[in-house]
Amino acid sequence: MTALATASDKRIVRGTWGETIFRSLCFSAATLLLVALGGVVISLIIGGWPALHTFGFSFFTSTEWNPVTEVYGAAGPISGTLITAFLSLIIALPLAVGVAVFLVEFCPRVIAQPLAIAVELLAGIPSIVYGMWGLFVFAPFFAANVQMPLSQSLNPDGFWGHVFAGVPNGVNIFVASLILAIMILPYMSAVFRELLLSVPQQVREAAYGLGCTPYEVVTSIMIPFVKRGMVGVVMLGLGRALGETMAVTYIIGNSHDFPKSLFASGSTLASTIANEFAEATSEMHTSALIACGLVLFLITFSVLAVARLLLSQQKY
Amino acid sequence: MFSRSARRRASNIVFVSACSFATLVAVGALALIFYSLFWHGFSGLNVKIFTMDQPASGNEGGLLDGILGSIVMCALGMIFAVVVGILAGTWLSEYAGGSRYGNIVRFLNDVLLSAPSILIGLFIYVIMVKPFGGFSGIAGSAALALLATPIVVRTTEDMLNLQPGALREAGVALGASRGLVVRQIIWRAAQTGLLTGGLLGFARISGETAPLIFTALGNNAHIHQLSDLTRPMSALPLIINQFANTAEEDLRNLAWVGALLISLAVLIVNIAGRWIAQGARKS
Amino acid sequence: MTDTVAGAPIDIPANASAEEQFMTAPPADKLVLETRKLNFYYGTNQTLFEVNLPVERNKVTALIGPSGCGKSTLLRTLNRIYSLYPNQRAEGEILFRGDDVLSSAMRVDLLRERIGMVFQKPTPFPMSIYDNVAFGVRLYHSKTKAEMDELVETSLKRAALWEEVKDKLNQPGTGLSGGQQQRLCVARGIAVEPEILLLDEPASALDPISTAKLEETLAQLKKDFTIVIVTHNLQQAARLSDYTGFMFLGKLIEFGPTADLFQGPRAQRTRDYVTGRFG
Repeated sequence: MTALATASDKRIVRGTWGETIFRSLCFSAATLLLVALGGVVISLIIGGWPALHTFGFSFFTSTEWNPVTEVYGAAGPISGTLITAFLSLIIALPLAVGVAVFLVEFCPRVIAQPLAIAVELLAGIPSIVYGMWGLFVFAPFFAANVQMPLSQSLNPDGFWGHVFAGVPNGVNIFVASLILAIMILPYMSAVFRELLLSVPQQVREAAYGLGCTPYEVVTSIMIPFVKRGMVGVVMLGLGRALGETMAVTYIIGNSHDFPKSLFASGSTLASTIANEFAEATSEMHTSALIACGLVLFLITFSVLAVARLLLSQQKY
Repeated sequence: MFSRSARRRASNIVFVSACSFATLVAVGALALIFYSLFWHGFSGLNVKIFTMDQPASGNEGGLLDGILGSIVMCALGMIFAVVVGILAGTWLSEYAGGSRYGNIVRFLNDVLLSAPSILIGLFIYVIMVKPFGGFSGIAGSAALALLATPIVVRTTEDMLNLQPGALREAGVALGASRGLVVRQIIWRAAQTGLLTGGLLGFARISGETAPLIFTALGNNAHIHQLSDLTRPMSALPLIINQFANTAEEDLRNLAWVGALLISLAVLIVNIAGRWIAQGARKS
Repeated sequence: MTDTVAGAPIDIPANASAEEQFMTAPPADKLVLETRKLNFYYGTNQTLFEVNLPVERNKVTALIGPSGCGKSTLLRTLNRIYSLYPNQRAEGEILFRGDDVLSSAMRVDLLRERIGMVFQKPTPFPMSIYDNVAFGVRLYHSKTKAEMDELVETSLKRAALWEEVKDKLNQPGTGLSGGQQQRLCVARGIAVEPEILLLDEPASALDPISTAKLEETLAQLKKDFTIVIVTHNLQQAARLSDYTGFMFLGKLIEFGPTADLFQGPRAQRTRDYVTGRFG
């Protein structure tokens, strides 16, 4: 019996040879990504090992960072990283929610889309521009209009005097957190907005139909509806705040001490690397900086992993 | 004293005001930043910016070396990112399915996507700058490539997944291999989305400073020939970074001009990307 | 258990495969394709049970039945399009000109030159009308421009689309109306001159006028091709087909010449479906 479409038909359909090659190419590209990330981790570990090995646990707990005596403790930058990230989150979160809710519920339809785009454009502004703006425009403004009045009216020995103590130049961890907040705000509000838009129309209408005010509909019904997703997004915003470099470097003041007040100078892991790497004086200095990078990577990675976990468990 | 309904009305008003205020803050920040950029940078805009290299203080000059350097390194980075990114994204969408390995790659791609850009710079420093004894434009391009690729991977996979399964089946039903179907049909169908991914990647890396600090390092002269890529290279963000931190006012003004240029460029690319995506959605 | 539809109780047996089958198959020497004891599985879920479907050459065979009865699944085994999806598999035999389609020795890509498919939703490729029609042909042959031009024209004429697009062959296929797109897909499918054309509810996404045009086209194509069409439109099946197979819950309950099946169905369930008591 003869048939046309069997193994005995030797014709090659066009593209058959290419199939294996193409598939391998695609696979290699995907694996390359894996290799790259693996390379990043490995290079950080190898580069940072000398410092970590030498200083051990004190690398994480000591604030003494002295290139002259070759003693490196990164508690200052680590605490600065965590403090600025969390502070910026505390500031940005309510703002992002407010923006998202406004755009979804209260904004006149006509300007809703342009406004949403305007907020998202904030996310595109390069970090260094934020840094310059923060340093040259916002910091003097902040120093003159917030810090000076506060330092003049508060008793320097009192509780609030301590909280707001600091050189009135507008360059401190609070301002850095503020700028960071503006940087992560657009991203968070954009995703919040999508989450809110995913609430089924019937649920919203049912709530309004019962006579709820918009405030009640949003806070009692819509936000709980997307609670899980919001937690995940918060963590993603946190991840971004942790990794920001240039903006923070410009306005955090660059001191390796543990910040003792809101308006004190500080540093983050990223800003320390950015500031000192080019002029690192010795192998140990370089290694300490790379070790800072490793710590930063581990922190960001954990935040991302937790966010992924929470988002993947989301049920609508 | 206050009736229940009055309280509810009041809390609602407070809420609406708070949300409006938040939006005002956000939009206000954008307006303020651009206002400052124009205020400080606009007056410095002239032809020299685009024709002369960076000056020493007190001399005439422009930003040509930075502009060219940025364009060259971003372009090189994007070529790599687009090739590897589209292939990898295609693998994730077409071949990986729900496999374990596929999920791992997807997750790690997200890690790379959100990784602090300065760490990418550190990585390239360790594997390219130190062993080969010098900063270079190639190293800078490599760092930018590594930053942009995850973005392209992500958008490619998302865009390809959006294509209807029936389209794939129709190609296969005619006897085409999967790779052919992807290349000749699916890619073409998703081309607007893929282009947007490329634009997004480009917008991201054109403004990056941190990864260039210890890879390209910076230079005073603009690129003249191909071999200049093996030497330290200038880039706009690097110049901005350098000049912003100097005491000389004329150089600081140049930094503002650079900041304005870079912000405008990123914004235009972003808006262009949206416009293209919008146009495709309408058709 | 019983179910009630339109006021009258209908018996649905617990084990669907226990139902009797009524087959009036065409003579074996006229068959171009037949399935033997075909079973199909989505993962662990079995959706086709021992289906023996005969397809006569140059005739239109229609598959009808309620939603979920497996008619589309059956159609999709015939050109092995299901093998795109890893958790779907088929067991049994599908004999096409004497060879088993399901065997691993079968060159599936060449099989699909001989058995073509048109889908429910029109799927024009993102390229010009000309390139759409030429796509399949280019996979298998090298033709000169003149040859290809002629082939494209012939295919479009056969699909009753030529008059409407002959001046805009270079325009994208996606710019056509729904009905035109579907006829483009038909033209694309017949351009490679297959022996069998499979159509999966081809008119369900079309308006009545486009549907009528498509049906006209299919009636003409019968002369040169064997057609197997899945449809939920009973009148369409009655109009177009020479043979009809009625399926229910994964089993081929009744098969025979269309006139016989519609006017004198032998299985109770066929009777119920055809008279509209359920579906």
